[in-house]
Order: sequence, then structure tokens, then C-alpha cells
Amino acid sequence: MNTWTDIRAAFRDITGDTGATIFSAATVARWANLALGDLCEAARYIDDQYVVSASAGVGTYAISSGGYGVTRVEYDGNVLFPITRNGLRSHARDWSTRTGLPRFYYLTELSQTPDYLYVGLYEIPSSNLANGIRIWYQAYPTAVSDASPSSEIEVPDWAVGAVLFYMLREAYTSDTQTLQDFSKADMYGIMYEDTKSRLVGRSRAALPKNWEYGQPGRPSLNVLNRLPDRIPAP
Amino acid sequence: MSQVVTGVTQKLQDLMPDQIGTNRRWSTTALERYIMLADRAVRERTENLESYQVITLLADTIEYALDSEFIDVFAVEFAADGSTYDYYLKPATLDDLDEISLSWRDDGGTRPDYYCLVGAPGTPTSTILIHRKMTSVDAQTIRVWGHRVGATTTTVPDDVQRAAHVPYVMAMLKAGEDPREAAMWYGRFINGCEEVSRRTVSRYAAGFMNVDVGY
Repeated sequence: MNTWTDIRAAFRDITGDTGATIFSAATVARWANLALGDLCEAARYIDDQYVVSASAGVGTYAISSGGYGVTRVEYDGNVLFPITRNGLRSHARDWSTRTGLPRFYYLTELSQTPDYLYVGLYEIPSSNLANGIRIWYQAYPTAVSDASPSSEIEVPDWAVGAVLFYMLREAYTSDTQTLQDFSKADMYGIMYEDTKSRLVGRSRAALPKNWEYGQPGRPSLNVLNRLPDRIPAP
Repeated sequence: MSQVVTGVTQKLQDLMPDQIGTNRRWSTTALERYIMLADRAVRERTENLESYQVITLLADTIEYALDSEFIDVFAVEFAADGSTYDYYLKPATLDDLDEISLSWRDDGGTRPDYYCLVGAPGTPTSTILIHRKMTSVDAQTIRVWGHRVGATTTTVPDDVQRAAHVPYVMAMLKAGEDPREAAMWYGRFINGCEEVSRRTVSRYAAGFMNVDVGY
């Protein structure tokens, strides 16, 4: 029940548009991908890492697949501190050209690079970094496609219904002679938002927090409490 | 207690006589899809199915794929011989690992102490990351415990099906016909999940046994 084949069939079945006479295959897939994008941007449920070669004199690096945000930048066991470009501007007049050993990373602004995530290093590496830099980021989900309908949709299994609800909301919102009905669209919208809110909660607090670094006495032998506090991952 | 698809289908047939089956409003194939969607939603809200994934550790490997059936992960155990699980790994974030060792990615040993989740559990690409990775291996495994979604043949108590699964499927089916009725069913689904989850949540949220204070 977590493949595009299943969700697409459920959509056709509920709308009665089994022959794709109202909504084309491309439209339906587009709605599914909009749903995935909306869910993932809200819940940031995909963490990924990307290793890119870092050369002497090169200060910015793109995550070619794009993503929603960078959570961590490291190289050879060194974790870089996050900083903003404004912070750098006030810190060092020559920040955009200074070379040395990178200690900070910053993100280029949306106005500058709207399509991709670019990570800037400060200082700019003065020599090649042997193992490149590793960028941890919150990735886009893989798009559904009629060319590979049996692939699992990239959303947690239990939340796959949200994709269907989003598609149905769009279907009943669309200006069609036969289907348009805002109250029905609203109902599916409520079900979508409800599932999305569950996903946001689970994604933002994925790790059981029964232990904290540096605190003695953890974990305890308190076996009765099976609902510990949670902490974000990673 | 009955299998989720057969049990819920039976109950839906009682609610919607003559509407389910070949050449009727809802085909059994379609209904099975909705029931499994319902089962996923119910499992997530009620956390009533525990299960585990055994992962055989590899030498010099820090990251392992997780099953997409997970809803969450609440414990990770280690067995040096692959069967005697006598050690718990502790959850940690990457920042925690930084505090433990700046070379955590390269550290090796004979037993991992910490685990970190990469991506929300249940996402097809989610992984578990361990520290320290095994320098060499023979049969070491970790066992990842979590709440999971079920299969079509997983059994569910009949009253749970009535309280949670049936209202969810009815909400799905009726939203395209009568949204007011669907809203009523969805409300029942949320209430039903509340009832069911109260059975599994400890009433002693803070616990009463604490070795630190004398037990």
C-alpha cells in the first residue's frame, strides 16, 4: 500500500475517474509530487549526506540535488560552525576572499541561488581537502513517476495516506463540471493536514531520549515508562 | 481477534450491505487498500504493534538501512554472538557523537555503544548509524526495536477494528459522497484511537521504580 501503483489506483477509484478522462496521468502525478514536497518541507523527514571535493581557492559548493536545509558540514573529523553572511560581513572585511583553514560554513541566500543549496566555507580552503567536505542536509523526496510505479513512495509507510488525501483535495477543488465540491475538498484537506501534523511531530522527535551525554545515572532501570521524551535526529 | 483485512471487511459489509464486491460500489481490492491505509494510521496513533529488525554488523561499516515498516525506534540491542542480546545501545545525535569523539566516523571497536537515526523511521531511505563501528566481525548483530505497521494478515482485536479501523475507512469512502458524514466518521476514528492507545500507555508515566532513590 505504499507504492505509486496503489495510491494512483485508490485515487482513480474514489474519484471514479478510472479512464483518466477528467485528470490526466501527468496531473495526478504532479499532485502526488506536490504532496510529497509539502510533507517533506514541513516535516523534514529525509536526512541525507553529500560528499563533494573541495579544492584550494574554491569557497562555495552546491548540493546538486537540492534540499530544504543544511544541518551540518564537516571534513576530516572537523565540524564547521554555522554562521551567516551578515555575521561574516561584520566580522571580517575580506571574508569573501580570505583563505586558510575552513572553520565556519554559511548558506548562500535564496535571492542569490534560488535553485540549489550552496554552502560557503570561511575561510576558503588554502589547499585541497583530501577527503572533500561532507554536507548533511534535508533532502527532497524522490518524485513518483508512472515509469516506475512499483517503487515505494518516499514517505514513511504509515503516512502514505497523506499523499492520497492531498491528491483528492486537489481533485475536488479543481474546476471540473462533474467533481468540483469544496466541502469534499475540505474534508480530504482536513485528513491531509491531520496526517501531516502527525508526521511533523514524529520526524522532529525521532530519537528516544532516555540518555543524555554527560549526565550520570542514565539509562535508568525505569522499565515501566515506555513513552520517553524524544529528541530530534540526527 | 481476526486478521485485519478480513475482519474489517466483514464489519464494513455489515455497515454497507450489498455495496462491497464484484460489480458493486466498492470492490474488495479497493477496500483492501483503504483498510491497509487505515491500519497504518491506527498503528501510528496507537503504537500497538512492536517488532524488530535484526541487522548483521559488517566490518568497518557505520551505517545500515532500516525497514520502512517502522513508525519509531525505541531500543537497539547488541549481541556479540548474534543471539544473546545483553547490551543496549544508547541513542545519540550527531552533536552528541561530536562530544564523545571527534573521530567518531573512524572509530572502531568490538562493540557499538551509541546509535543515531538518519531520517525519520519508516522513510524508505532511513538508516541507523552506529558508533563505534566494528573493527572485525564474526556473528555480531544489533536488534532494532520499534513500533511498526502491520501486514494484511496481522491480527487485530475486533473491538479495535470497530473503534478505529472501520471509522477511518468509512471517512475515506464517504468524504467523496457526504463530507458531513465523513467528518463524523473521522471524529470517531480519532476518539477510537484515543481509547485504544490508553490501553498501551503506562498509567505510571513517571514510573515508580527508580534505583537511584533506594529501590
